[in-house]
Amino acid sequence: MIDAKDVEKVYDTGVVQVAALRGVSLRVERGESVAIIGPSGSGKSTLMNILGCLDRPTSGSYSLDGKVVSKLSDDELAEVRNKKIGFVFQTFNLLPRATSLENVELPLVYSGVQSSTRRERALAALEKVGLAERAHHRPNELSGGQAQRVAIARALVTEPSIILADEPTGNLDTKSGLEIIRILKELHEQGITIIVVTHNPEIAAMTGRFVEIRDGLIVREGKGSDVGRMTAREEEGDGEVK
Amino acid sequence: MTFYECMKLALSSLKTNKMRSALTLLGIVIGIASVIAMMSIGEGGRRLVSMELAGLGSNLIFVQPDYAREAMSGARRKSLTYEDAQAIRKGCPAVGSVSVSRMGLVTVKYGKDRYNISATFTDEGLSTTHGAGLKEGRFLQELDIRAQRQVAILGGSLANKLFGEESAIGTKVKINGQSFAVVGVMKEQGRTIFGENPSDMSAYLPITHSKRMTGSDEVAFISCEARDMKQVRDAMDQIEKVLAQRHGKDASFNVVSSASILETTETIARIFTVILGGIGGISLLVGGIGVMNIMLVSVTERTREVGIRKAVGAKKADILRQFLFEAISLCLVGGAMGIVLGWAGAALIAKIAKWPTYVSLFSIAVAVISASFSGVAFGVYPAYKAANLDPIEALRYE
Repeated sequence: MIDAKDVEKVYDTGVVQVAALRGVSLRVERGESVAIIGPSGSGKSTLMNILGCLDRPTSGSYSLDGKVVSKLSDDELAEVRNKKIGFVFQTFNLLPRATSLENVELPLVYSGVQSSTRRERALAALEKVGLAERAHHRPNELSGGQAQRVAIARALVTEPSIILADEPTGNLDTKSGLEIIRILKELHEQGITIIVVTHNPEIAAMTGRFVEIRDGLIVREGKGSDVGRMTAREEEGDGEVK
Repeated sequence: MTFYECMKLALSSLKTNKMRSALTLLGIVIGIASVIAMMSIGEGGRRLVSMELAGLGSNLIFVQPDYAREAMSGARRKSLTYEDAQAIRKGCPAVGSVSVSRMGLVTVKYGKDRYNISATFTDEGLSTTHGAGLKEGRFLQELDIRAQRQVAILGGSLANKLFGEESAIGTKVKINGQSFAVVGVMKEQGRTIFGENPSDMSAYLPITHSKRMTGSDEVAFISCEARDMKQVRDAMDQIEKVLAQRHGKDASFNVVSSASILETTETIARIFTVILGGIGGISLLVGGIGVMNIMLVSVTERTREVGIRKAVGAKKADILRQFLFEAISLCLVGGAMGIVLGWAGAALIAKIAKWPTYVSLFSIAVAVISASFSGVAFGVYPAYKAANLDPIEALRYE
């Protein structure tokens, strides 16, 4: 249901043209879990942005659930993000002045759900990540792990087809990180498609499949359980992978 | 998002930066208040002038030499004299009463007291309007004029200064060295917005003494009253005919009715009000620029918030509306406070400067419209900027 074909992305800085993606093709089926790994500057964030409909490819095509989204307008992309995609960011990206509940409600606000229904669904999503009792706390009153769980609840609340997580444990201590991994795993078991961009081999190992990107190209693919071995070898080589 | 939710969101954002919002608000408050207060000065003045003109009656006709034509052609204008007034009285059946007067500086002496005053040389025609203003005695009568009697009616404060509590009636005063009998004293009119009422320090003398005492019997204008409203037009025609007979066909005099004077004055006063409102509007403009400035800062500060909102599905219009609502709320709240402050300011001006300010519904409408308009005008650019932020860039913004 994710079908990217020969996706290229060129950033025109005015002086030079930087090719962040140089022809990436990727298919992800419903219910799969995929890790995108690769060193910094490899283009994995760019790929993530395109898969998440935050950006459009310069060339190539990208269709989501059978619908070509690579040529949609900004507002149409916003609607796709709202309905089909849930984001989990490394830096949580919660609205600092809003409570957990309000943060989780936010996507529903933009899909036009009535405020009473919104509240119910947001509470249910918070319950799923085990934070119902923190519904009225603001992000600065939450630990990093709790904040990320609120962010996951926000990603869940619209019942999206994919959850895109960009280094979800990057800013967390090991214990909170494990908690987040556990939740993502649970969600995957419930049938949600999950794509994770990560440096963390432990996360990658838990996914069904990994895709390694380097210099804007997919250089390796394999079963998630194999990733640990391969990245270990990687570290001996050039130490680019943290 | 419903209208109510938009409003709630806007107000809660404004609340997080209380001091900043309050200062921005102040700019709008002062702007709107000055529009209201300035317009109240203009409108108050207009009402005062209109009321005074209307108090004269709408069937008045004024006759004046054509000063404008004299200024333009350099030709010696025909001057109006007391004889013209008499001729109008006799020759115009549609004219009910005629009053005519001439001002002249004279010296009034009684005992050791001496005052230089501006005297009004007139005749019995003025008694219809001035008779009621008498404190004691009588006004000029037809016989005073015909017999060239040396009689005087004194203004309230002049009589007070000369005679104190004693009655002045029957006393003789020296005016320009000649002996005049005081036959009447006017009531004191009290203070006006321009200070002491000049007629309180004046005196009324028979117009027949004008030439001898001031060197001329030319009058600035003759005011006539038509018998009723319907005869104003006839009266004007008759007056023009009489003047043409006396001064020749090409003699030019302005014969205008009080209705047309009222109209002209109203127009001028309205323009005056608009200009004053415009001056107030300048401070509103400055306040509006303050709103725009703060909104731009706010958009920059909240770039990340915009990024988050966009990532979860906010469309351009959603972001535009959010920021526009903030600017409009600022301006509307500021506008409401400005109206109250402007009203208070107008009341204060009325009290301290003794100017009859008037806060009209029109000026409030202008204030409300300009407040909401400035919210839109000064909010739309920052809001547009926010709406068009790239979500990826915005999410990365530190």
